[in-house]
Amino acid sequence: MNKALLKRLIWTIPTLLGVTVVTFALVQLMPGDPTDISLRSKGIIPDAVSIAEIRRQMGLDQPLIAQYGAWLNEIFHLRLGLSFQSGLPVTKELALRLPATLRLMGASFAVACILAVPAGIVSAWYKQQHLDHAVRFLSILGASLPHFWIGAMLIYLFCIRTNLLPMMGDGGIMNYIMPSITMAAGMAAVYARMLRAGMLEAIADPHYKAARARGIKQSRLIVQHAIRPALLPFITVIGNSFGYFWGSSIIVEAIFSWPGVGRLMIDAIFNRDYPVIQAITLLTAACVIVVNLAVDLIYYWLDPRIRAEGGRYEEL
Amino acid sequence: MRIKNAVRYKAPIEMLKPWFILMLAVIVIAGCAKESSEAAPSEAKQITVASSTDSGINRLDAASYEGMMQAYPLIYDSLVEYGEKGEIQPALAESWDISPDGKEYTFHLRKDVQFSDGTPFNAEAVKFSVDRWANKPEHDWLLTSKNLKSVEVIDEFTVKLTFTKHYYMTLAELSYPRPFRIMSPTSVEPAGDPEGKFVKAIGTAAWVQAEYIQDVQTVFTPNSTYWGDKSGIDKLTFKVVPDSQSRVLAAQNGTIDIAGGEVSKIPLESLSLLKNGEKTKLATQKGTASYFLVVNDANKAIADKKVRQAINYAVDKQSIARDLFDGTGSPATGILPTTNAYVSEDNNKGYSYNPGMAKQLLNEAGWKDANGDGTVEKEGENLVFSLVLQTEEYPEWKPLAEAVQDQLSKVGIQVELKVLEQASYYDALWKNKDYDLLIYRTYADAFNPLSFLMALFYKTNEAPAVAFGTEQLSSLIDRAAATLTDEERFKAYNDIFQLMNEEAMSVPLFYPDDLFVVNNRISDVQLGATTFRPIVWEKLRLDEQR
Amino acid sequence: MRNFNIQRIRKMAGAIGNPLGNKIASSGLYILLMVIVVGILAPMIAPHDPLAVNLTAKLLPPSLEYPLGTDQMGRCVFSRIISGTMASLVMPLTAMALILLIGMPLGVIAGYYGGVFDRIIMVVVNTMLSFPNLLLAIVLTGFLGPGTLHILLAVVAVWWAKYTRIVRGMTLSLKEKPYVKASRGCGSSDVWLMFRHIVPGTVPTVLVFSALDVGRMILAISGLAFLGLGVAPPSPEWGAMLSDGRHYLQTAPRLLLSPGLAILLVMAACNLLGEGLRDALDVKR
Repeated sequence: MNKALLKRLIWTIPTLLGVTVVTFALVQLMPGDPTDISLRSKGIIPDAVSIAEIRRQMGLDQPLIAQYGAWLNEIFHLRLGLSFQSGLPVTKELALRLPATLRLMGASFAVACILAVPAGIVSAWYKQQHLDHAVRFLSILGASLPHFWIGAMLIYLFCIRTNLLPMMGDGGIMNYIMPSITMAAGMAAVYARMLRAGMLEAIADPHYKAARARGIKQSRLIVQHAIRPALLPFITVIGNSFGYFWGSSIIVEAIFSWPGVGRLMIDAIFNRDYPVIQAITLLTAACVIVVNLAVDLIYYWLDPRIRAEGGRYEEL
Repeated sequence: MRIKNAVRYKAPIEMLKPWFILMLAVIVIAGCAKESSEAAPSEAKQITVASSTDSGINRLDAASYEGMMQAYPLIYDSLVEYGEKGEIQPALAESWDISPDGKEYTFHLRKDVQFSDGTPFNAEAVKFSVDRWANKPEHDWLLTSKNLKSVEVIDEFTVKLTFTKHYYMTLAELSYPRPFRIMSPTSVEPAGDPEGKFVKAIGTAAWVQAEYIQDVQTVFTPNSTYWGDKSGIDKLTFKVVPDSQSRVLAAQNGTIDIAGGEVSKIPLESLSLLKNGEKTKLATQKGTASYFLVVNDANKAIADKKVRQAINYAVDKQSIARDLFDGTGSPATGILPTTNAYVSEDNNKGYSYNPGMAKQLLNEAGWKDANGDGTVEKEGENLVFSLVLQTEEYPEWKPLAEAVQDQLSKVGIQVELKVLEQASYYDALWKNKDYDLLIYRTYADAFNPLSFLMALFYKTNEAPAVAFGTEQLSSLIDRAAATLTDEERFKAYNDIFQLMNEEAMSVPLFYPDDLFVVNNRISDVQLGATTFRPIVWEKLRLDEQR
Repeated sequence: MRNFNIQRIRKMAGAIGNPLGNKIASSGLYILLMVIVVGILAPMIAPHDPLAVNLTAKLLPPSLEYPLGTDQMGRCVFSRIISGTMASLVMPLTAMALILLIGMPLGVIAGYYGGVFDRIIMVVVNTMLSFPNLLLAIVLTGFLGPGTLHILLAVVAVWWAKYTRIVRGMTLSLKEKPYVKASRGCGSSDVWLMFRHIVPGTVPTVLVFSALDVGRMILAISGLAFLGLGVAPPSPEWGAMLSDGRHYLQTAPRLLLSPGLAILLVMAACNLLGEGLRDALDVKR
């Protein structure tokens, strides 16, 4: 049984390597010379001699393969370089920003579940009735609106019109409400749809019918035989939503002045802060890989029937 | 399956209760992971200012470029300060003497000053700061550093700076936000070592650093040992709000008290809301910068003076100021507004709006719309320019560019807009000159006119000018830099501006006002003379009754 | 994890010819077609030139002359919305076509032949899929610079891998089907097999996913516009209009509303089409 699992684990390694190659290549593809940019970002007008000297110091005169090797070695030792903008080690910058983003992602995930779980269940239970239609309509709406549109509307309603919620920044629980709803809206729709489909499948299953025929308690019936089987595929979506949340954090953090990694990223892109861009891209991809691996392992552990072979191809 | 049958069961909503509770718990935990740092409105007189970037106070070495420009003057004083129209005012130096050849500057220091940590301020402290920046390659763009020969302590409160060459901008450069301000020798480790490692921002100015959360906020409190007037408030908080729209909303609901200027630009579209808002008012003054088009004479059409003049005639500066920007600035005439030193009504005439004249000039230059497609052409080729801009720092450039595009199309010049992100935009401007027209701004206040002209319009034998340059202009700029008296300087600048105007070396568009939105509870808002000291913070007062 | 049989494949293949068999899907399709028709006819039905600036008539409320009012440059919002249809739809549709053109053949070949080629492709695909779509799109557009072509490139570069993975997975199971094996036994060439039996089998799933993804691309593109990485002004692309409009949230909310609703309409149509097809063609998650 563990052969497939082992294979899955082993194939993670080339993927991780691939991620480092892409991240490294991104910087090579970028227009502009990193040395020049790093000097200019400090307000220094570079001249040819100092550029050549710095290039030599930074090892940029080496062949690409050697540069990649050196860089990989640095990464391996968790040395991500210095930010061009702030001059601080990138690891430190990340450590400073990561908690805020993770908290926001956690809150958004919670909000997505709070919205989606009841919606999905209700929708499945009242299949093709008004409630189902309403839920599906709302979920299409939620998935169809750009983040900043939702964000702007929330701000308009709760800050301008009523002044009920704080508008920006990290802080108390109230600060989480608007950004997490903005971020969760799209995902909640996906979750609800998955749950609905999963429950319908479970209800159609002979197990469910048998259980009902046995006349077991209704609450148990629903939880054990309708919701629980539906949750299993749900787990795989979590892996995917991780990447989704990470991507949308860039926009949501900009709207709500959230001091997280997303904002660091956008600043870095606009200022061509290569080390920061590289670090965040790498970190994100590594996280996505690890989370997906974890999800697979959990899935495997929960449902041994699943063959890891063939891969999971699901949405998003 | 028969879902209908299920209806005889209770609705499942009841069974969702545990879910709700569980999820609420999760969100509460997530939310409480960080203790609420909600600023309780205490009796402390506190003013919150929005800034678009982090102050960088933890690396605010007076001789570095790492922090927010406006943060330096809060902590550090300079020997002299820059006043309106370039009038140099005493600061840490009470008075100064300049030798007749313009190479020696002797500063007589104030005697009643100490650094915020109690370190005495004296000639040695000044020497420490000077040694920290003197002749460092990264400051070579400032001749004050590049040409410095020596710094001597004459006595406890007298310092002499000797330069290799005369340079009239020296005093103005000393007033810059960085790198020439005076920092305490105890700011570095080991203390007093000009090459020491920076540890903490300690200066003589009105404010000291109290609390700092990177990318969230920086709190300043009044410096109890400050030599100037005591501050009217107890706390000055710079809160990082990167999104301009969020700043407007925050100003409206009172989360922030002040926003605007270069610290945190407010979008012009929102000014009508803030002007006489429930909680807000505007504080404005004429600015010293201008928005203009850089023209690239590598384009053959633009190399023709008549075409450049035609572009100038075709732009309706009045309409831009009045209709597009709702009177939040003035129509541009010459490259710099008259709020700058050496710029006067006479040497700053500019071009009027005259599309007929523009068409005629194009005609004379051989550009005619023979095929009637609305675009002029010459030798079968349409007159098409690219217009490069960025919107991160200057969101209002997008409507401005669209207006210019429309106005030029009316005289038969087709314009393609290229919005670049910040880094590519600056690459286009400084390095690869990949544009025909490009929206840029002049520098402001103390950097005008000389630093600005040197940076953009100065051509050397080795390098062409960044924006537009001719040998004649370069020699005029050299002449201005070498002048010893104000009178000579005025004459030199008259010639410069007239040449630039006659040759249409740029297309001036708009003179934006300095704009600040201020909460109604604040009074005594006195705007500063420079963009790096936008408001005289220590003079702000809070109205008690509100 | 997927069971296919001939009948099901045939059913699917039959349903493709008649996607309107499902009410939800057809409503999505109709909305989309309607929008496209309006987009094509835009130059004829637009009351004003969508690019004509008139600064003295800016931010006007809706009137008979300007059905949706005017924007910050005094341009007719209604004309811009309908003229922007093509700009807003053509980009994601072109991107989708390119993605399928790249993603499907790679997936089929990788799945069909297996071996080293398959392994390499899958490592590349898994690598690409490790980067969140929006993040990679933002980084790429950030580096390449804004503009229609660059956005298109970024979207294609980000999205193709997903389709390779889907198609490869399906190819793996399809090639084991008895009828495929039988056909191979009869001496059919690989190319024939792939075109005749495998590609048609993947079409329903791919259709569902593409309908949903076109919608997502519209959202991603509007997100790029929000960050200042949108198409060049003054092109009336909806995401860019929306992004411009947000400065008028309080003074003229309609500038935010009308492009928002346009995007919503198309997104909803894509979602309806995708979801409907999913039900109709019985494509699993």
